[in-house]
Amino acid sequence: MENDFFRIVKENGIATIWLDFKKEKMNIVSPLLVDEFENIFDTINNDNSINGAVLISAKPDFIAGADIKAFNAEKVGDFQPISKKGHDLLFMIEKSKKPIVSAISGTCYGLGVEMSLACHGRICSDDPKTKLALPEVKLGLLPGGGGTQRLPKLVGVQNALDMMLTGKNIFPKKAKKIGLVDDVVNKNKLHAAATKLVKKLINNQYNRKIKKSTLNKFLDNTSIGRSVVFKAAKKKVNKLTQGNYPAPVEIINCVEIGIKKGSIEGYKAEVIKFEELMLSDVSKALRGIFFNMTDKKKNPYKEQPIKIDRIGVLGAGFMGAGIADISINNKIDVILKDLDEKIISNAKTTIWKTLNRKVKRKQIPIVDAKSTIQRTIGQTNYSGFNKLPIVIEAIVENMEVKKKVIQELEDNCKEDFIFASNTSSLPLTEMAKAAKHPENVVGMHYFSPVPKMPLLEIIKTNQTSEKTLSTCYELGVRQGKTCIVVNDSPGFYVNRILAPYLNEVLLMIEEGAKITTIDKSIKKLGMPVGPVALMDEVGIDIGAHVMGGEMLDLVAQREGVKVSKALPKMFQAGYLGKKNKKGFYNYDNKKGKKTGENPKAYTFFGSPKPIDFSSELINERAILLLLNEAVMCLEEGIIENAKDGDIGGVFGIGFLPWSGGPFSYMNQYGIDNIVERMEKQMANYGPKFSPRPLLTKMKEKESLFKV
Amino acid sequence: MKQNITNYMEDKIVLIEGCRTPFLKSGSQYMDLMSYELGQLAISGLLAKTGIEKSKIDSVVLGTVISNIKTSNVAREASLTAGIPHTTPCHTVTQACISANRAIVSAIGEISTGIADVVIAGGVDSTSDTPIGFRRAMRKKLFQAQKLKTIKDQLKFISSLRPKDFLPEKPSISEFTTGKTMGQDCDTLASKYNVSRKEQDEFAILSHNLAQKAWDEGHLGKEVVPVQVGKKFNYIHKDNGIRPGSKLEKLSKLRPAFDKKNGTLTAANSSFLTDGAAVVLLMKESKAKELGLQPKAEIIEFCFTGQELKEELLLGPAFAMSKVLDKAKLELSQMDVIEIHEAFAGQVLANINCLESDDFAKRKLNKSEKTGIVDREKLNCWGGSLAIGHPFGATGARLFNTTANRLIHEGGNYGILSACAAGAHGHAMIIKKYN
Repeated sequence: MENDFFRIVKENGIATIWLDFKKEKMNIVSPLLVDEFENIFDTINNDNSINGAVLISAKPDFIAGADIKAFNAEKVGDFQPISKKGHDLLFMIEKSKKPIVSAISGTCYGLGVEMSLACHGRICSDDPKTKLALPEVKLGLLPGGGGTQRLPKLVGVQNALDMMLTGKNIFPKKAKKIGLVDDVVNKNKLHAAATKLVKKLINNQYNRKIKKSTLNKFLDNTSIGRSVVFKAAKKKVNKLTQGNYPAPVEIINCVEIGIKKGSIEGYKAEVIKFEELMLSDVSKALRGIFFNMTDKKKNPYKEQPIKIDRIGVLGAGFMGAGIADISINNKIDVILKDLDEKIISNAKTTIWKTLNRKVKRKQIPIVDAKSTIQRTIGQTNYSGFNKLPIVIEAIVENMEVKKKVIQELEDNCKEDFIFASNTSSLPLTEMAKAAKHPENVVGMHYFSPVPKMPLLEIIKTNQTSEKTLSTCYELGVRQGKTCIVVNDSPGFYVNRILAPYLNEVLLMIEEGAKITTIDKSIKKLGMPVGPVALMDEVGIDIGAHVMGGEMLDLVAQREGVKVSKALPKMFQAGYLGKKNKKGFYNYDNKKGKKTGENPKAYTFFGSPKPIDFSSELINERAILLLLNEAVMCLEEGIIENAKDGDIGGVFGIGFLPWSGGPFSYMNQYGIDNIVERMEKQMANYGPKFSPRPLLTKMKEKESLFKV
Repeated sequence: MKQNITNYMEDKIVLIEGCRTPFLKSGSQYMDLMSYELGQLAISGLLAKTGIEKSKIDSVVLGTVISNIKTSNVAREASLTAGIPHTTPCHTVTQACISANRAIVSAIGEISTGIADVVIAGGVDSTSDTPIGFRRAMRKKLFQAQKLKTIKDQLKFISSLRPKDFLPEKPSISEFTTGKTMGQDCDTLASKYNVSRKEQDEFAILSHNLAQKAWDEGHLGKEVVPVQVGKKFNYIHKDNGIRPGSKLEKLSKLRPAFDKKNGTLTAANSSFLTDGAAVVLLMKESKAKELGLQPKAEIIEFCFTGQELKEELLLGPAFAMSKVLDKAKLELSQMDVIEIHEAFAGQVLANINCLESDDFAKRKLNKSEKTGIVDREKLNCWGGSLAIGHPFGATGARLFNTTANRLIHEGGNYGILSACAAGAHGHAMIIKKYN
């Protein structure tokens, strides 16, 4: 039997179902497929010559999850029948009298795991690419294919919650340890091992044994233990989500119902809750981000990018080291140049720390780590630069120095090399004036810390060539970044929307708001870091620099805008934030952790008399200004579209991920609502809250942003 | 037999670029590295220096002498960790102190027969990572122990062990056939060919002074890629065995190292144990044009020789230089650059005496006249192995590189390089500055 999705091979009474979706690169489950699967398992159950079956992929990956674009629901009741049908299919597998074993290699996500859970045994390969996960929570959903019921039974409540609440990858060794799979074998022996397990199951020769400590036995197997686990999980989830994300809560609920009231009730709850989540704005927003991110992996330019084997990085400071790090870890060699060898050595030591951690966790062999670190050649001269297609500078933020460096590079590089600046505040158009080939000048604005921040802002001037942009985009994707291309303008996009938000926060402190109140309030709203803590993290020096210069000119000339002078004052007084443990907060000397606000910080704001600010007011003032600025960037064509604006917002500054980004946020609340809220603030705080013309126009037309 | 390497093929074989790690005394900063890591550093440096795409490398050949049992094909590990794709085959050759020369010739062979167009060749050695094993008797016991099954057998094995079984076998650098160390051999060679202690000491002082001068003038800096090793990735830029400005009186007071009674060889006029790696990039001339790379030199001719083991162990250059000049139909006087490996000052001077001797030519080379006069002004002008050090497997690539770089710097035309090796082998090669 063979069709577009699989072929079945019978041998010695055992059927092997080879999954091989002809039209797709990966096996991805769509609603259509559920029927196909039903047919297969019908055949297996009814064919007397078959005693058992192996479910295995003919592709490098097992099942990469469900096609989430194909699963959609508009209203209550739309999705429940689909869920139920899926559940029935999995019951059919689970209740089959003939043992079915899944044989997993490569990626096994979502429904791939849930289908395997319904099977009677699981074998996975020890390939480094083999990973199992239930990542639904990342999309604001729960594992709706029986995962919330079957997983706790197999691996215990603790492991199950850990997997489902984080969505993290479980690698073969761990999978075996927690009992998620029965055995781990070489991928070439996968089919043979699975067949053997089927035979054992047919002959009742297999007993599943999982070793557990006494404590874990208590926590997983007693009702008192389990209630401790649930309580702890709920507490942790509340702290992390600040109540903004319903999915983790519902996952815990479904597991709890299944355990306390039995799995029939549990499956019922799963069907209902899954649909609820599908219909929630949060999940829609998170899925939107996911789709956009996937789209962004493709280079949008027609012009072929220049092939890159090796790049030059100027400046081995924190940013330069970060750029080298993400390059060498993605097999791009780096020549790292700095004036000071000590700085290069420090950069390598920093990069080595992360590599060494991976070695200690047995994620990579020591030989690979040593090979990777030496992909960075550190030097103080320009040797080898004449062959480099691209040089990224991460040196001091000073226009004259950067211009001088461009000329120095032109003497040492080939004629058509690309000069990419990692500046966060200097105008590229001005910088390009120093270059012989301004079409090869571009901005590559990485965010700090580079290895952790997912965004790359590529900045073009009106001279930048498509070849240059295409090459930088491709490089950014290879470095694992999500790229947006923006036009040159003070602050580009991300810092531009950040500036009015932070300025407003500083003004509120000046008026008498408490630092911790502001941070708590905005964190509760869903920003990953409070704005004041953010300034400490990024560095008050950087903040003072970014908010000074051109950006300051741009904002200060607007009607009714007052710019806080506090940051430059603090910087002059030697306050750098977290890096010198002197900032808005006090820091523990040893671990460098925050120990509460620094009362001295208020002196830079004229030691105002403390006033009670409602968290609603704090959030409104800060967020609305950010939104208005984002709209202005769209009006001015700094960002190409609202989608990019959303990506820049979420990945650049962690703007309320539950909303999907600044533009999705406005869509969710409705443009009229946003305009109304802005006008309300305008009455008290002046014309800076005056909604942008685009917003008023959209309100009239009742239109929404295209996200 | 055809006479000239260029006759084998239409294309020339050219040297594009070469480089090496700093050469460090055994047991210094490279102590914690395995030898493949030194090879990796040299290859990475060469790739960055030339900017060549890694996938363009068709083959990697490295020479080595002290092979680590875990990485017996050290070229493969060095190449893979330097990021060269696994589709590029690599092999390791060994021929004692001329292992890198053998690797380079192997590369020439691959290029001239069309097996490869672009080859990285060179060598590596880490004397700091000398494998020390058990003695034969213990190895035999351990080997047999693998087959033990019962507890009784195992107890029997354990009770058969003696304390002396646990003594490690001392790694030896003596000649296997004759049982004599190379120093002992060279000591007799020096006296046979009338090389005085004073001459040797002077030669050694000169080597160190010239090496220092070459560093000061930036010549060697261009050949060496600085490396960053250790936990803090601190830089190492320079060779660490160079001792300029030694006084002859002081050196003359040193006790002989090999023959305590009548010897003339001392620690100061012998090369020291060294860790390091050196590599070169070779390809067809047409390929260089295609890739837009500027060659430095072309290979004209080369040869290997074998000598009698007791009396002529280190006379490789005397035989090989004569042979290669004959093959190329060139005279020693036409050579603008001469680079001879300095295992011992006494060995270089003995070879020079032979090259300049009519008697030697008649007796040993079947020639009526001496090979030629070795112009000291042209010899090892940037220092030699006595000062820079001698990682056995790597020195040949260093000599090759320096010869080419000196030709360019000094504006010469032809250069000759030569070395002796344990096992009584010799090697010589003639190269020409690329125009």
